[in-house]
Amino acid sequence: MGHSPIAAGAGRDRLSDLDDGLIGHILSFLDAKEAARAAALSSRWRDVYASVHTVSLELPERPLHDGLTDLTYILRILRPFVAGVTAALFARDRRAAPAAASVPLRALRVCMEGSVDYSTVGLWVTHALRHAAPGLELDLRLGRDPVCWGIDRKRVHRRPAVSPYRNHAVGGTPLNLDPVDPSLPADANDEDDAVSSDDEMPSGFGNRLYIGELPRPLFSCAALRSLRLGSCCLSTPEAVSLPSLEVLRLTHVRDEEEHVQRLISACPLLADLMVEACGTVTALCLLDNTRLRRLAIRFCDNLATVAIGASQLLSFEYLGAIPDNSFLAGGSGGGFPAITSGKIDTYAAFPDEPEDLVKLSSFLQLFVATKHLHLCSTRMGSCFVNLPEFPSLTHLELNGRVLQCDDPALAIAVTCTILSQAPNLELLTLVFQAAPQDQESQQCNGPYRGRIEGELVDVHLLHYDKYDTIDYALLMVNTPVPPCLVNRVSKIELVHYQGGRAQRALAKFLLGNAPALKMLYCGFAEGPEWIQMQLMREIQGWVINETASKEFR
Amino acid sequence: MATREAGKKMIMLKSPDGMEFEVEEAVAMESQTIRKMIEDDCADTAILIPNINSKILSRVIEYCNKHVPTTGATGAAASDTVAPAALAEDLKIWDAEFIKVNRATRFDLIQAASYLNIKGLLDLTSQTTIDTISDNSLEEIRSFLSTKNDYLPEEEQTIRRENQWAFQ
Repeated sequence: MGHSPIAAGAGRDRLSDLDDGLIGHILSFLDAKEAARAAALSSRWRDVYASVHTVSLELPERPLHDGLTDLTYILRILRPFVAGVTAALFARDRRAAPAAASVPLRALRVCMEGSVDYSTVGLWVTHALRHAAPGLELDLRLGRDPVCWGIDRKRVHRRPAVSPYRNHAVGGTPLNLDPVDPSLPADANDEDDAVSSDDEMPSGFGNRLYIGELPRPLFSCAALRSLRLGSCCLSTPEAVSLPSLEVLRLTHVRDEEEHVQRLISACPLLADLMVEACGTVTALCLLDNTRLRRLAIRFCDNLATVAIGASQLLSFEYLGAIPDNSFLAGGSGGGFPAITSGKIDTYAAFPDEPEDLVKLSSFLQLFVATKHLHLCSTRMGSCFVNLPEFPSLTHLELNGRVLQCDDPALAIAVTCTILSQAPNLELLTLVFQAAPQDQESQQCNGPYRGRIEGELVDVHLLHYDKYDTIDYALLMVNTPVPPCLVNRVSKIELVHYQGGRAQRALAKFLLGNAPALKMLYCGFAEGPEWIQMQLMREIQGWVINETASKEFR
Repeated sequence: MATREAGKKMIMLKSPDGMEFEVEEAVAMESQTIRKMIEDDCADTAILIPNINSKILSRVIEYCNKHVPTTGATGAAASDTVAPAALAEDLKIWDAEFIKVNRATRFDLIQAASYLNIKGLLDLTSQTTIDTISDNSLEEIRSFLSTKNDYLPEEEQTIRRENQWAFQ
């Protein structure tokens, strides 16, 4: 370990030398349990927990096979966790002597699955509000999606196409099966009501447990800057005023009589809004939210119109069914010139009807000024073959499946069609989603897949077969090479690359036609090293610009 | 006050070991402490930064230079919540490189960030400190911090009992 000139006591514990406020700040980055355990280190650390300004607790995801019945899970894991949150909040106030006050609370973050009764949540919120520092953050994701508990069984929309390095992102996937908590107090769960209205929701949130009313003072808290709610029934008082709120994220929030709208309208400084899986929200008016910079709408299939004012919206994310022409209204006719970053993800595997393509095209017309565009669909690019031109676009990310059995020529043609609408593209990212694990993928095994080796290969995701030549497939391609590829594209990223005929052909086509390429990144899907090596060698040979740097992972 | 480069206002920062650093006012104002001095007109010619040696101060300035918003025109309130994704990603990578320093330097940076009130730098240094000690047992943390357990056995029992929720 090196020594800096003024590090007089290097080797000594300098962390203990910092004052309580600073130690409290550092400990605030820890899970509250770990932060509180620091008290046992030494007498210097006895009371530092009172200086912790952020209480953050996350219930670990329940393993799929933990050998516990739901009831034992609730008694042994869930209940102690809930009690722990309460204890973590109140422990800040307990300090031996001198009885100084604890530091104001800057953030309370609770992330859990399963259920908690609303009087407990009320206690947490009330306590947090009473000790709030200016700029308070409340993050109550109480019904985090129990990813391991539910498996989509029937009538399922595609899972959202998330890139592999973001798989842990919370709260993206609506599931059909949610855990039922048999010990749930009846008052916390208006079961009958929930089922009847959930039936109408296409994504099926049956049995989801919702927290009832939240304490009223929450809706007039002047200190609150960031609010995130998961799985609650929103019921606001008549008068809502959140003058400091900048970030609002709602996941699985149900309301009656447009309380979500009332909440949003009461936030003049709102800059960042996410509405996710809120099935009761049918229309949103954001005309008053003139400070809105980022908007995300995810899985809100009943949301038919969003009105946005002469906005300075910078970033827009849409995840859901193909929206109607009237979905976004207000942008003074010509779209949203300020949007620099757009992300569009649709459920549709292939657009069922030609009019869907037209709808998507006119929807995307709103984002023609964007610099960064992220297009996700089940089959990579398939929904976006009818695009307007994006003259400002410099970074395009395509996300979806290109399967082993897909027609390589079609994959190339689709990609070329999209690229030809982005004349100034510099960075192209392709995120390859894995094939669905069902019979569909078995059926499309090619003639070489039937071998014993093939069974081994099928366990992971990589495909490489040196006899499976792709040159013939490339000969079949008669699409002109998009100009941006020839002139401008300087970086190509292949994420979760699996090999296989179609992906290999696509990669070869792109790399072989990109003379301006300076950087190539390729991250492989999981699989044996020898296949990765084969794929890597092959790719290195395809890059036409020999001076380009190449990174493989 | 010195001005340079198309009217950009410059500020002189002095470290106690006699080094002087000329920085743009906007960069210096990444520090809330300095911002307050400038706004209160306490910053005529040069600002002496006590307790922070030139080596650490130059690193702090390096950090502020990187993190100063490129366009100050649009609303300040929204700037940290809605930075363009690509830019934020760039900064993250830069930060990760920046903080690859030894422990002594990191503690100096913590104290400097705290005194100068630079939130981003304080959070970065704190987070890095936490990353090195979290997921370790108390005994491991004690030895890492070379701190001695000075509790009597019954005192330690009391503390564990009081914070039982945290030791489950």
